[in-house]
Amino acid sequence: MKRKREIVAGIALILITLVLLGWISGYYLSPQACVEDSLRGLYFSPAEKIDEVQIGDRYYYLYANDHQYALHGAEKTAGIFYITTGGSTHNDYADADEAFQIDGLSDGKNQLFVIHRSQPEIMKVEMDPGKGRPVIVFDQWEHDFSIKIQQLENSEEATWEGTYRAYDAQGNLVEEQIYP
Amino acid sequence: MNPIETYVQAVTAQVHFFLDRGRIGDELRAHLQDSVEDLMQEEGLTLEQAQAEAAARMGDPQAVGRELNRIHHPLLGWLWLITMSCAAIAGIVFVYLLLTAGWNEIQYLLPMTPEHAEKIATVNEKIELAGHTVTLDALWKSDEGELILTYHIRNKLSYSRSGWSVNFFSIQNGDDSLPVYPYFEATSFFGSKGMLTFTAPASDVIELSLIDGQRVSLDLKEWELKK
Repeated sequence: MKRKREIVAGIALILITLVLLGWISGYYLSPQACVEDSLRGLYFSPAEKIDEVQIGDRYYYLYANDHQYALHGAEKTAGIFYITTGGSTHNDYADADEAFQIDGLSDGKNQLFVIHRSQPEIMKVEMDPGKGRPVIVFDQWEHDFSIKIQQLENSEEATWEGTYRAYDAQGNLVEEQIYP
Repeated sequence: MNPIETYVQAVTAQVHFFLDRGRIGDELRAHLQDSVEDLMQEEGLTLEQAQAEAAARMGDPQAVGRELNRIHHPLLGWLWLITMSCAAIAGIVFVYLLLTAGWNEIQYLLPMTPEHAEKIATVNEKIELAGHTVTLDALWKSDEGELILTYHIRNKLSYSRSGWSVNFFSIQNGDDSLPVYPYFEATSFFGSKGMLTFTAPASDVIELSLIDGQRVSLDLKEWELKK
C-alpha cells in the first residue's frame, strides 16, 4: 500500500511539473488561445477576431482594432497542443494614405496575403505576380479585410512582389500599387 | 553456508523484483535469527541444530518465495521504481522552475538603479497600454550627460507565455533623430522593468510613441529636476 501511495504521489508530481513546463513553454490547448496570448505579449489588445483559416495542422487568425491589425498563426504539436508559428502586426493602418494596404505572412508551409481596404468602394483587388503566374483576386471581405492563402512547395517561393490593382463595383481602377 | 543463508537465498530467488530481494532477505534473516535464539534457549539445541530447525519450521522455501513474490509483485515494483525515478527528475525541474520564477520576481521588485548615473527626478507617470500599466519611475543623468528613464510595466492580463517580446514604446527626441528603444532589465510573471537612455532634448519635451499608437508628450520642466 505504501508503494502504491508513493506511485500516486510520484505521478502527481510528474503531472504538475509537466503542466507547469508546458504552461511556461507556451503550449496551449487551443490555437485561438495561443494566438490571443501572442497578441497579449505584443501589447495588441483589445482586438476583435476578424477571420480564421485552417490548413492542415496550421491555424491563422486575423485580429484588428481601430488602429492595429495582426495576422498570427498556431500549429498543432504533440497531438493535443498548439504552439505559435509567428505572424505580423501592423499599427496605425487607419491613418494610412493608400486606398488599400498589403500585408502577408509566410511560415515555410503557407503564404498568406492580407489586403485591407481603407476605401469601402473597393470591391476587388487583383494581385498580378507577373512571370506568367496566375492573378490572385481578393473579393471576399470581412470587416474590410480579405485573406488569400497559397500552400508553398518550399519556403523560398514566398513572395508578395507584384502589381496590386484595386477596383470599385463598376470595375473602375481605384488605385494601383507595385509591391515592394 | 549455514542453513539460514541457504534458506534465505532459496526464498529470495523466487522474488523477481531485484530491489525487494535484499529487504525481504534481511527481514527473513532477522526472523530466523530470533527463532534460532529461542530454540537454543528454550529447547537447548546447538547453533547448527537451531538454524536447521528454524529454517525447517518456516516451510518450503520455494512456496514461501512464490508467495512473497505474489505480495511484492514485480510489475508494481518496476512501476514504483520508474515512477520514483521520473518523480525525482520532475522534482528537480519543479524546484528549478520555482527558484527561477522567484528569482525573476525578486529582480522585478528590486528598484532600478542605473550604474554611473544620478537620479534627478521622480517621475511616477502612469500610461495605460493594451491592458498593461506602464509606470515611468524616475529620470537619471549619466556621467556622460545622457538622460536615463527607468520604467516598470505591470501586466494586468494573464502572463503571456508565447515568448514574444516587442519594443512597446520608444522616445523620438526631435523629428530628425532616430527613436530610442527600451532595454529590458528584468521580466517576471507579473511584469517587467527596464530603462531608456537618450540625449537630453533641447526643447525640454520628450515624445513617447507607444506600440498601440498612443503618443505621449512629457515636459521635463514639470518634473522638478534636481540640478
